[in-house]
Amino acid sequence: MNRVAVRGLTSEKTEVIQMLHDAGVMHIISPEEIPAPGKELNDLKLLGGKLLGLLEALDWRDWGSVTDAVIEEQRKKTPLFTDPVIIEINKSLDQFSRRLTAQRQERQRLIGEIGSLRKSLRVASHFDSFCRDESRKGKAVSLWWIYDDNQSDVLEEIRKLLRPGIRSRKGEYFRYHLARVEGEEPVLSISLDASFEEPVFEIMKRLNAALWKPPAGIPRLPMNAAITAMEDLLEEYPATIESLDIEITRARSEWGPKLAILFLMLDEKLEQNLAEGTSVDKGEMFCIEGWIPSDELPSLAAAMKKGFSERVLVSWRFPLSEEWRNVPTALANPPVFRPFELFLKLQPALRYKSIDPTIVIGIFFPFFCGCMVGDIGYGAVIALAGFALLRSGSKPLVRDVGVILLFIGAWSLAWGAAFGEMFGDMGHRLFHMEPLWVERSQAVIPVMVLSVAIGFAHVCIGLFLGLYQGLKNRDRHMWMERLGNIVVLAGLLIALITVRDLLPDAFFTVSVTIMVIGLILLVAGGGMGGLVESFGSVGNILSYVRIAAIGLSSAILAVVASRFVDLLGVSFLGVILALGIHMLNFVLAIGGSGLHSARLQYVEFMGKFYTGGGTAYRPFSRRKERSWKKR
Amino acid sequence: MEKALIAFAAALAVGIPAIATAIAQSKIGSAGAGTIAEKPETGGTIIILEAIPETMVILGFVVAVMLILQFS
Repeated sequence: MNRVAVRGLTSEKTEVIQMLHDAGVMHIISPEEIPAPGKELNDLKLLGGKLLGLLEALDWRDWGSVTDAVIEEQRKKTPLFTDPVIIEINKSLDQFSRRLTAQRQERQRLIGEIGSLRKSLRVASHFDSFCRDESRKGKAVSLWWIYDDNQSDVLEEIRKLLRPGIRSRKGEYFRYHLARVEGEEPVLSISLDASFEEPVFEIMKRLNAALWKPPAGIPRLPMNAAITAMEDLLEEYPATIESLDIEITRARSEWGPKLAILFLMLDEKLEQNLAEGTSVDKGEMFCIEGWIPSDELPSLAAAMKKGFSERVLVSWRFPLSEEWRNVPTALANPPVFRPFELFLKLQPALRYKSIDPTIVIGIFFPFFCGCMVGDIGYGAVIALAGFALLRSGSKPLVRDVGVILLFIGAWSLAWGAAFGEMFGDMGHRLFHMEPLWVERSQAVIPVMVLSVAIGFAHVCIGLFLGLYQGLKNRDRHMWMERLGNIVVLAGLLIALITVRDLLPDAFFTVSVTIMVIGLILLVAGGGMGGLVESFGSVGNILSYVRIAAIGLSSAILAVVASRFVDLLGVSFLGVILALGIHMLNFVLAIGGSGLHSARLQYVEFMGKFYTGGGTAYRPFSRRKERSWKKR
Repeated sequence: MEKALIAFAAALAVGIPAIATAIAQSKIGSAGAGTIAEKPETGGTIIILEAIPETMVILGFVVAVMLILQFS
């Protein structure tokens, strides 16, 4: 990484910044005091918010269709975002927004109307014959929503009102019909002489009954006229909604991409303006500073020279040691290991001059996963899944996962051959497959010993990297502690080999001496904490037993699956159960092996040397990912 | 009888750490889910924290295997 400063004429600042934006390689340093955003910046932000709001209202999400070529083409046609242009765009957007809002509101209103019409129609249809009969007799008919708990009160009150009349006058009349239409509150239809209508209304109001009315614009009575009107509207409204939908869809497909492109261009302009804000202006000159990877520097300098001749000065220098903490870190790995950079993205950013463990992770992660899965059949499925993701994945993350799965699949195939497993013991049963090394469900100890041995090597690599890093950064605490750990582990290894009678007994004394030297280094490097660290390293190595343990459980589960076919024969149930257990085992194998292998990388390996707390390299560039909507 | 006791001891060697691991992971998991929701960049750390208690059950498993292989 190089510290770079670009100096030029203030009058050309916008063009220079635009070129830096196009180059997309410079990590711009913000000054300590950033000036408050001006009116232009605020206007651009507001316009951006408005555009996003409209895209949301249009329900447009097809960001994938907005390619760089399309934006580039549109950029040539669109004028610069000057004040009059912004005002004009705002006006047009407001008009568009009003039209869209009106259409959407109308649509919502019609949907609401349809709901209430259907409800009213159900009530009206139910009471139609009653109302028609009673109206024909010249009676006053009304419909009321009443509460469940006061039905009897309502009827009693009406009867009380009518009782004296019945005694004194001939021909007094009261009929009612009570019904609950499709689970709604009960509706009471009453029919009586017109002279009693007013006092009955009083009673109903007093008892909290509500007069049933059809939706606005529909005649209340006669009921058959109301029903016909409601049915007509129920036919008319969906057609209106459909035409509104067509209009909104047309607006979405026509205006969605245009608004999205406008937003993207605006976003770029906003970024450029923010970058302009980070420059230091002195009279007629400006200076903008940042970091740039060494291999990108010549191309940037050449582009600047071509664009601005001698009017722009690009100067650079290597970072000073006191700047190391602030230098952004860009990972540079061979393409085949690049997908494994994903593991570092889940950690705090690597510090400048720290060791990038991506390649080691790329070697050991799939190796451990493969050892845990250890099955040719599962390995083939994993590899196929990886291949499919690699081929179909449009997003870099999906492609990276595809590559990682391919690696895991390859190692699973290799370990599967070593353990002689293909969907458990299916390979042995069908093809008389024999293990190249051991059958792990029978020979547990050799696999465990191998796991611990691999763990020993992996932890030692981590410690060596830590030692190297400590020496490089002149961190006495770090290098002495890591060296002490390595020496103690070496002493332990020699002692173990001696105890197993693979070395003469005299080596035991040597091993103890080595361990004491190691402990002295540990205490010198990290005090009493260093001693604890040494126990931690032994624990870390033992932790690799999980490779054998998880592998063993996976192997046994696969065998159990096959046993179902033994027990139930080649029947539908037997095959389904076997497939089900294989499926479960496969999911566990993928999830378990991935999680545990990742843990071995993060805790046991990277814990020995990885120091986060750096700054990720974020070049000032056009965004490649269309993920604005989620931000 | 002796074999049964060995099997029982092996089962305890795996079972007790498994319960302890489950309790620890449930607490770490719920707290971790909340943390990731707030700060997605802590995902790696949470995976580490989630997997740490499993060492107990792995070592319990090793002890169980040792018991069975040594004494049966």
